[in-house]
Amino acid sequence: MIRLGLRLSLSSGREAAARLALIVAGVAAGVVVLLATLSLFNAFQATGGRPCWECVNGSAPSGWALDSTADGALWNYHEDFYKGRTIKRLDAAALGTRAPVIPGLTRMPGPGQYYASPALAGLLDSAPREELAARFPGTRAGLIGDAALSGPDELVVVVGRTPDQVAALPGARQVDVIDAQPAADDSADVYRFGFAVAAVGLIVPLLVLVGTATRLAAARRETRFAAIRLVGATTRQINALAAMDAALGALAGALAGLAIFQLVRPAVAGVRITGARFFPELVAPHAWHYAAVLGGVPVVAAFAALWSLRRVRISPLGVARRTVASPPRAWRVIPLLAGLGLFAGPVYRNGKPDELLAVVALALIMVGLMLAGPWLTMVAARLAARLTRGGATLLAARRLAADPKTAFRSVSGLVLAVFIGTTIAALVPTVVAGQQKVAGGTLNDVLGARFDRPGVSGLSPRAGTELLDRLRAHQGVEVLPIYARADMEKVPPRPDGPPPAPYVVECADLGRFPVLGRCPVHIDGRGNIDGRGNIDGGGARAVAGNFARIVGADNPLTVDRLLPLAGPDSPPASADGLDLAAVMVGTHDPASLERLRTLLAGYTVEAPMTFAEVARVRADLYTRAENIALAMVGLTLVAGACGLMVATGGGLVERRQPFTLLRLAGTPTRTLAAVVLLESALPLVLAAALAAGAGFGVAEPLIDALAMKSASIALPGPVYFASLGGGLAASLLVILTTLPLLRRMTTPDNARFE
Amino acid sequence: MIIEARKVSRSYGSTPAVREADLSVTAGEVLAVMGPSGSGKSTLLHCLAGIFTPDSGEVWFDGRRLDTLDDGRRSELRRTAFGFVFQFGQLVPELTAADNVMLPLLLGRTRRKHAERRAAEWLERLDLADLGGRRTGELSGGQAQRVAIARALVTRPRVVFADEPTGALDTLTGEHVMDLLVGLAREEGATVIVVTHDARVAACADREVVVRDGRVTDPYTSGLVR
Repeated sequence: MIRLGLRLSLSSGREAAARLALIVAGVAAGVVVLLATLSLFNAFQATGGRPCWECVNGSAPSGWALDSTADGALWNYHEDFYKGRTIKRLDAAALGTRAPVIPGLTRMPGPGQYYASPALAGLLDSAPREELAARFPGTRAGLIGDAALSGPDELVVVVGRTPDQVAALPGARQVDVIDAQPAADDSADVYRFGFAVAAVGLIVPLLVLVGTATRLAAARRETRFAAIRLVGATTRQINALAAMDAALGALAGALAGLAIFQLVRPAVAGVRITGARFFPELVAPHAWHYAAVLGGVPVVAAFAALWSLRRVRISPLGVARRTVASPPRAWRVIPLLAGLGLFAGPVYRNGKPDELLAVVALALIMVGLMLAGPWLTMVAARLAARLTRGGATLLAARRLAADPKTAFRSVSGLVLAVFIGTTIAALVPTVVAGQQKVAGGTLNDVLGARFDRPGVSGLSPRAGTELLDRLRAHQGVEVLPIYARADMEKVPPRPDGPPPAPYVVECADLGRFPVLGRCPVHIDGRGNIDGRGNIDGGGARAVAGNFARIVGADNPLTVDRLLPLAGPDSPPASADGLDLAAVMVGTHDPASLERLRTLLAGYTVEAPMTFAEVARVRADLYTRAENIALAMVGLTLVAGACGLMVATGGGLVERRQPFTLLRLAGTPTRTLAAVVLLESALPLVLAAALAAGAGFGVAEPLIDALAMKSASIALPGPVYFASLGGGLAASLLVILTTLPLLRRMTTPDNARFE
Repeated sequence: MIIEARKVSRSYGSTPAVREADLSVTAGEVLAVMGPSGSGKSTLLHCLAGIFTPDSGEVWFDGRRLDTLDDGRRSELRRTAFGFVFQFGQLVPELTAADNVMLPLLLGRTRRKHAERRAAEWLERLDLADLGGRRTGELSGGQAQRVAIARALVTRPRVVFADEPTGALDTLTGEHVMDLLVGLAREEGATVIVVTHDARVAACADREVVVRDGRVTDPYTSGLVR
């Protein structure tokens, strides 16, 4: 039986070879997509699970200088920025001979030396010294090894300092041992979400692909099985033959997919799915992934073949369908409309989304898309058949209308991916646009730097004045010093009292940043005279408020909610003798900005960032998750296109006889080609349009409900249109590749049927 | 009696194809079942071969009730005791002529070497020795029917069922095929039941029956043949 099965599958003439080639091509494409996704996920997991030396907390450096037997090191770790890119910076000073060494280095740099990651070393060599290299005192001693990095593009610097220098830096810690654990990164959840979207989006089309491939030319194959039944094969033997036939093609496809994946792996390693490349050696499936693919795909194919035979009774005289497929009915569109209706209204009834209702609505839409597709295909096909004047459209439309479920099945895998991708692609640009329009965009080029930290209210008045002088020495720079009110720490705010006002700004400085608010008229900073000519404010030229709250706020959308920070009710105050808690510095010159950042970096724990950079960090996170999802939508479309190619090719093999007869009867080949193209393109375009429409239908009310200040609805970005449009175009091209098969198969010379 | 139908009826939906048909065939006999198109002769043949289960009545083969056997037992009978020659669609086009001939042997777990030898012998007997490696699509209609005869007889069946075996062949080739089928079946001692509407084919038979409106009649006693 095995030998017979092998014989039937492997050496059964050109038609069987064409069928086998289609199966192999389809399954191989699916396997490549699957392995690429798995390897990127592995790289993401391996990178995320890397011991995080940056996360080592150590302990407060108490009395280290007095302890002559002290070991370990003093560390000051913080993040710096250069042109929107994050630089991980560790200032370290050995306290003894057994100072801990971070992974990737054989020894820590001594005072006056630093190690840089390869990417940062390249940047240091190309950027002007005062913009970047001046931040790192000393000479470069070498490069940091891969063990300390999360990817080849990561910017990391380890600067050797003396213990005194590190101790003087805000936030210094004593580290005795590097007990590095994986980082607890909030953004990992966003990426996991992206991969989860990918999994949902990919699994369905891959299963459809394998299923379609194994059902290729099913009717003709079943006729062969009937002939074998006639000479005495049992149903079990037929099932074994069908399963073996499917599994063999799938195994060949899986092997081909494995080989092709090895060829495209370098390209996959170059994918910046999280915004940065992974180390190429990490971008690989595990051994058990290969084994699971090689073992699993044939098993899935065998089950798909057996599943496809469940409705078929193969008798010795031929094949009988146990059930006749009934045409889809209009009720199929109800769940989709219900889900969209829920999103349009009840889900956001109280301004906030009702999570349970949202999940129900989402489930209704996803199920509804799959249900509504065949009905809409049938309606569109009937309409096309009624309206068309062309023979090709009539033939295609009639066939689609006769079996819309089968027609839609070959593209159904795309629907969920396109829906999810569209929803995300419609949401993210709007949110990102909202982030970047904070305060009307007036703060985009404003650096914020905080000098306060637990136990320290900021720079002393003398150090503060010195820093402000240095900042103001730069041309075209606007500076807003924010002072800490020393008395506020002792007075906890009353719950029913006015909002806390722990900071003070001078009205003259505030006037340079009008978006933050205005001093009351009676505290105008010039003459302490109110609007009625009375002297008021007790000689005040400053106001109190929570000014430092927006400096370092990691969500720009919250900044909009906090503005204005000063107004008619702001209490008068005096900045005299107060510590400098924070500073906002504005300039429109990018080079000056980096010089100012370099200057401020010596005073701060957290790296100074502009409001645009804060927005960009968050926007990057959303955009990367969006890109992951859209990349997967693109891959899904590729998998779907392969499924479509297999289905189209299989349909040709199946209908060789009627097509040849049509050609014999004088039908031009281009008409037959148009029939094939229309049969595939109509459900494809319909499915994509339906899913994209539903995606926008979900995103639109969500944007409205978020009611983001200054967030206007933005169109999805070019990645979306490239993924969707490119995927659809690729799908149609793939269908075109089957047309030469049509020409060859219907050659009148071959018009002979057994 | 090698095979016998007793009051066999079979309908397609509400359309009766065979109505209370009685038919007995003795071992070694060559029986022609004649009748116009749509008379129910093929349906009767399929009921006798255990392909169809009659709606009512009984079918007996060699003293065993055939119509009550399960699918597995009927498959085994088709593999071991019956042979089939149909008008077309009976050969597996993916297989070569030799493969087609040895297929029932392989399904019955005969060793491959033995199956190949038997297939070669039968192809030789049917003057197809040179064509064993060809696929059925590369054979002429007459050659394909000879392959079908070889396949029907390779298991040394007790009964060969033939349904319009010459229907797709020209007269000369059809006569040649019938001569081979009947001659070889006689040599093997097999019973042949051949459905045909061609009097020349029926002339090869020992006996004829006529099916009309689903009922079996004797052409001589019913006055169809004078």
